[in-house]
Amino acid sequence: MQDAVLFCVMVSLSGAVLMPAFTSNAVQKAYIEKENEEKAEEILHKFMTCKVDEFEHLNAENILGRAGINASYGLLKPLVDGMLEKEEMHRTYADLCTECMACQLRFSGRQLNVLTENFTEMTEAKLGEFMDEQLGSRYSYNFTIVWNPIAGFDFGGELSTGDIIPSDADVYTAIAYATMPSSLFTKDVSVLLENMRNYIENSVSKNDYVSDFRDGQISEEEFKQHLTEFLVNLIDDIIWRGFDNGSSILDVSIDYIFQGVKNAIEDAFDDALNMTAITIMEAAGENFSEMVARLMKDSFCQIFPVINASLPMKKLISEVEESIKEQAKNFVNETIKKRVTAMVENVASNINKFTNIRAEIINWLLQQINFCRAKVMLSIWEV
Amino acid sequence: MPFLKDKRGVSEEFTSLPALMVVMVGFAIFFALIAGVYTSYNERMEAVDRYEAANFVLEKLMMVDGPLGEKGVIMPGGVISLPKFSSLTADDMADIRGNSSIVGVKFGFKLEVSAKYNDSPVEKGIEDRQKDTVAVSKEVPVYLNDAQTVPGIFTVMVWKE
Repeated sequence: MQDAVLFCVMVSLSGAVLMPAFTSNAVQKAYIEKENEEKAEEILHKFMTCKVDEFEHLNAENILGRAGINASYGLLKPLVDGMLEKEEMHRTYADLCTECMACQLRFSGRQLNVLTENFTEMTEAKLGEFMDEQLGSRYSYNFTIVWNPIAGFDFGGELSTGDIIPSDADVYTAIAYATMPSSLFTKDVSVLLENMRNYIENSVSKNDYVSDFRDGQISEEEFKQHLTEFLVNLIDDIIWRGFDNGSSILDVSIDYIFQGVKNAIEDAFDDALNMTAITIMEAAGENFSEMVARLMKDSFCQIFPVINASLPMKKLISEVEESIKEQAKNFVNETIKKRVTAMVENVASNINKFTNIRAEIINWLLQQINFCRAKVMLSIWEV
Repeated sequence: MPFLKDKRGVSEEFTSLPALMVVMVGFAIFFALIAGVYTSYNERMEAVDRYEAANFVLEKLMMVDGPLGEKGVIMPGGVISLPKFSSLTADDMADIRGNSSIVGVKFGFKLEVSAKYNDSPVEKGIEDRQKDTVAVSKEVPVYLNDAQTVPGIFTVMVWKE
């Protein structure tokens, strides 16, 4: 009898061991996880391709608000809307976001361009509507799109909507890259990119260290030294020296963006919007251009406290430009140049794998410095 | 007396019978449980297999150079053209099935966009679907016209021929 009971106990134990294998829904769970990952990618795909029927924002809306002018009703509304409102129709969400970021002039976590604050607010609101509609109540999300021409250096543009990503949930993330608006691709940018390619082609052809190293004519240390020097010079040329006295990427990007701001302040509000300016001046008791300039100065001085706020606007903008360029140089020296060592080590240890060293260098550079694309990230998790 | 000639009998208790009964009952319960669990496991795995097959069909058809792409339904960038999809005829569906090199199963499609853009879902090739049909959906951008590309859901339904 004891044997029988023991036998039953053993059989029950084996059943207890086997049962979870049959009853567990690991396969289904794996499929659900895969589905969630695909969902994030699908939503991002829709963000890149779907179009917004109607979108509008009011330039300098916040400036009017700060001046105590309510242009949302009354006789002033049609006038202000007609002069300052910008309507965009049938643009993709991605285009809208990249255009918004291109004119944000964001630095050190703040948007310097006070004229387009409403553009940022309206774009984020529109993105939030789109995401809520797509994901429903089952998911929470965080959607962020970042444009940093120099990877890791907080200058460029950023849009974000949704919740903070929780640390204790299964989060599914999809990443894509969106092309910046064609208006940024000025002749200077084309010339710079062309010069960069030519410089790499010519330097690698003239001083073929890779072949010398492969053939054993130079040691690994010599090869690493040559490649490091080459990359450091290349970065310096691209970032601030420029090729053959041409423009550098800092000149091109920062000058271009600040020039846009200068034009907006000097031309648009003084000439084209003269009527609005006069009306607002009567309402606020202050010249509109002066009001814009004062708020721009306030915005600059919050980030650059050492800058003298009493300087004329043109001079102040030049000072801000120089300050950003200087900080960019320091960042590149401290951060990007350290990445050169890792790149050189990688090339030296895998020299036979690199069939096209020029392409590798260009790819590596474009990962560090890329003026033309913004990174789009969508993270979703189940509520 | 030699023991061969001893005709006295001895009646002993059959002590192993209750033990055997316990073993048999234990075995019966064990096998009943295992059989039940295995059956449901098998059903789940079949459902997963069917889903996988349907998903494979969907992925294959969604390729730009796939049979739907040849008909202009899938546009560059993975966008589905609603006008082209709506104009698919029975002959087109036969072509798509023939060119898909998917054998043993039949499939049909459904395309939905928000009611504010299109009143009802557009269905193609699902008139003769069987009861045992598996459906897989994918969220896609849907091209309506040059001005409008909106979010939509593309569903592929698969059943055995």
